[in-house]
Amino acid sequence: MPADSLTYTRSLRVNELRRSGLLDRPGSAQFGHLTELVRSVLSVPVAIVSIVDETRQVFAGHSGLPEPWASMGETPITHSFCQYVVERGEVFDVPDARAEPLVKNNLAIPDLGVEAYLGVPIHSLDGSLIGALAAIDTKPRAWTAHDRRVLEMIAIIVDKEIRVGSSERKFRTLFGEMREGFYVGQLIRSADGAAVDFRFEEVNPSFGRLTGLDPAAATGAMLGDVAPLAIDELLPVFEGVLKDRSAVVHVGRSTLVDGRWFETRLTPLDGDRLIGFFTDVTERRRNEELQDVLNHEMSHRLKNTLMMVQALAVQTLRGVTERDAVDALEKRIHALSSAHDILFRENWHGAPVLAIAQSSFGRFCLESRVDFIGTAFELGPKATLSLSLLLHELTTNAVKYGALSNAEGRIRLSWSTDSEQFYLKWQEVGGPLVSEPERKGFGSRLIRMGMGSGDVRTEYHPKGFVLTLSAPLSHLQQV
Amino acid sequence: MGQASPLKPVVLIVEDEPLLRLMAEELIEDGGFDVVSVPDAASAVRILETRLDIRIVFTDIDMPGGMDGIRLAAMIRDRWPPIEIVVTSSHVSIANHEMPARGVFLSKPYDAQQLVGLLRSMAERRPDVPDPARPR
Repeated sequence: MPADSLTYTRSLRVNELRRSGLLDRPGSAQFGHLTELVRSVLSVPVAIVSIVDETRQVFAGHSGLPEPWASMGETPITHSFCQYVVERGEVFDVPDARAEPLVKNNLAIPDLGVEAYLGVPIHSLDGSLIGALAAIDTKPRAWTAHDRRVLEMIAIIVDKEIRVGSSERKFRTLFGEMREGFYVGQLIRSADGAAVDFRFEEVNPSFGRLTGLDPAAATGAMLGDVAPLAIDELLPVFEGVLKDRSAVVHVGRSTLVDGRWFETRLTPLDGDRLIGFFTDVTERRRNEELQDVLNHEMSHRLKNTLMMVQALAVQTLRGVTERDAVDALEKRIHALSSAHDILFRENWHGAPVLAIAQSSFGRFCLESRVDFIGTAFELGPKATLSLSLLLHELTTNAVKYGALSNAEGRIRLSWSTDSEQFYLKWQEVGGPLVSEPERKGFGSRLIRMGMGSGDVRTEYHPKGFVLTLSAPLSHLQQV
Repeated sequence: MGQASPLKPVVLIVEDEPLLRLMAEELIEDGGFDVVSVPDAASAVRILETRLDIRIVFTDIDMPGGMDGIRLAAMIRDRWPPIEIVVTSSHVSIANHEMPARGVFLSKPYDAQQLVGLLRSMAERRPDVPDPARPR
C-alpha cells in the first residue's frame, strides 16, 4: 500500500474514532474484563484492546501491561504491533517477534517485552476496522488454531460492546445537547404502595437550564426536596403513567421558575421508573390564552348581535297577529345561537354530531325522548350550522304534530359514514297518525335543503315521519 | 315608573342596552307583570331602596359602571333575600359559585317563552326567607 494512501486511510479512521468517542477516555479500562478473560483463557501475561491512531495506540482495555504504559493507557505508534492488524485487515500471528521482519525492530520488543503476539481485528459501530484485541507473551509461543478461535470469539464480544457503547455515547451526547429537559427517575412508594416521592436518577443540562436546579444536585435527589410544591401535582401524574403503562403528555405550571409552563412527555420504563422530556411552552400557552380571550369575545359579540336581531324582530313584529311566525323566527335565531355556542366550545373547528343533536333537543328539554345512535363524527362549522337548523325544524314539527306531541312518542336519530358519504336518519315512533302537510312553509323548505348538498328524503308513514339524508363528506368538513 | 297595580308582580329589569331593555319590558309586560327598568346596577339599588314591591330582578351581567350583574345579584341576595333573581349574559356560561342562591342564569339570546315561564314560576314561590329589612 502506498504511503499516501495509508496516511489518508488512517486519518479517516481516526476521525471515525473521534466521533465514536472511543478515544475520548485514554487509558480507559472499559474492556478490562475482556482482556482479563484473554489472559486467563490463553494463559498469557498480557492482553490488550488497542485502538490504533495515526501516531499512537490507545488501550480501551488492558491487563498485565508493564509500567509506565499501564498508567499512560497508550503507547506511541512505534510500540505498536496492532497497527499491522489494522493495516493488513487480518489476524496478525507472530510466534517469535524477533524473527518477524515486520516487527523485529519494533520498540515494543525492548520496552514492553513483547516476544510473541496474536492480534485479531476489532471494529467500530459502522463495521470499519479500528484496532485489535491482542494476546501477548513475554516468550516466543506457537499460537494454535484454538488460541486464535478463542481470541476471535472474544473480539466479537468487544465489537458488540463497542456498538452498544457507541450508541449509548450517541444518546448521551444527544441528551447533553438537546434543548428539551430530560430526566429518568423512580417513583418512591410507602409500604402500602402509595406514591410518596420521586427520585431523579439522571437529568441532563437542559433540565438544569429550564428548572433552575443544579443538574449535579438534582441527580439522586428527591422531588420532595428539590421542588416540594410540585409533589401534589406530579405524583398522581407519574402514578397514572406507571399504572396505565402508556405515555402521557402533561402540561403544568412550574413551581420553581415563576410563571413558566412546561409540557412534559412521560414514558414508563421498567417497574416504577419513568422518563420525562419537557419543554417550556409558556409562549405557546400565552398565545392560546390570547386566542381564548379573542374567541370568547367573538362569541360574546356574536350572541349579543343575535340578541339585538331578536329584539328588533320582536319589536318590529309586535303588531303582527300571526304569533306563530314571530315565535318561529325567534326560535330559529336561538337555534343559530346555540349552534354558535357549540362551535365556540370546539374553538370554531367544527363540532361532533352528537353534541349538535344533544344541544338541539336540550333547548326543548326533550333529550330523554331521543335515542342517539351514531359513531363519533365531526362536522365542519358550516355543516354544524346547517344540521342545527335542520334538527331545530324537525324538532319543532315533531313537537307540534309528530312523535313529541304526545307523552310517549320517541325519536330515533341515527347517523353513520362510509368513505364518501355521511348518512343521517330521523325516525319518529309512537306519535299520532301523520300525513303529509298540505301547506309547505319555510320550515319544510329548510328541511328539504337538508345539509345543503346531497339527497334528502322525507316519508310521511302513518306510523311516524321519517327523514333520511346523505351528504358528501368533503362538503361537510369544509370550514 | 309609577307604583304598580297590586295584582301584578313587579319585575325590575336591569339592562344597559336600550333596545334589549325595551324588548325585555315588552316581553315581560306581555307575560302579565308590571315592570320597572333601569340601565345600571346603581340605579337598580336606588329603586330597591325606595320601592317595596319588587318581586323579581332580571339583570344583565355585563354592564358599565362600578357594579356588574353578578355583584348586584349577590348584593340583592344579601340585602333583600326574598327577591328572586334571574341573570342573563351572552357569555357562554357562568360558574355556579357566582350565582346567588335560587338565582337562575339565562344565556343570551334568551327565549321569550322560557323567560316568561320562569318569571311566572318564581312569582308563585312564597318568599320563605324572612326579610328583616322589609317587615310586611
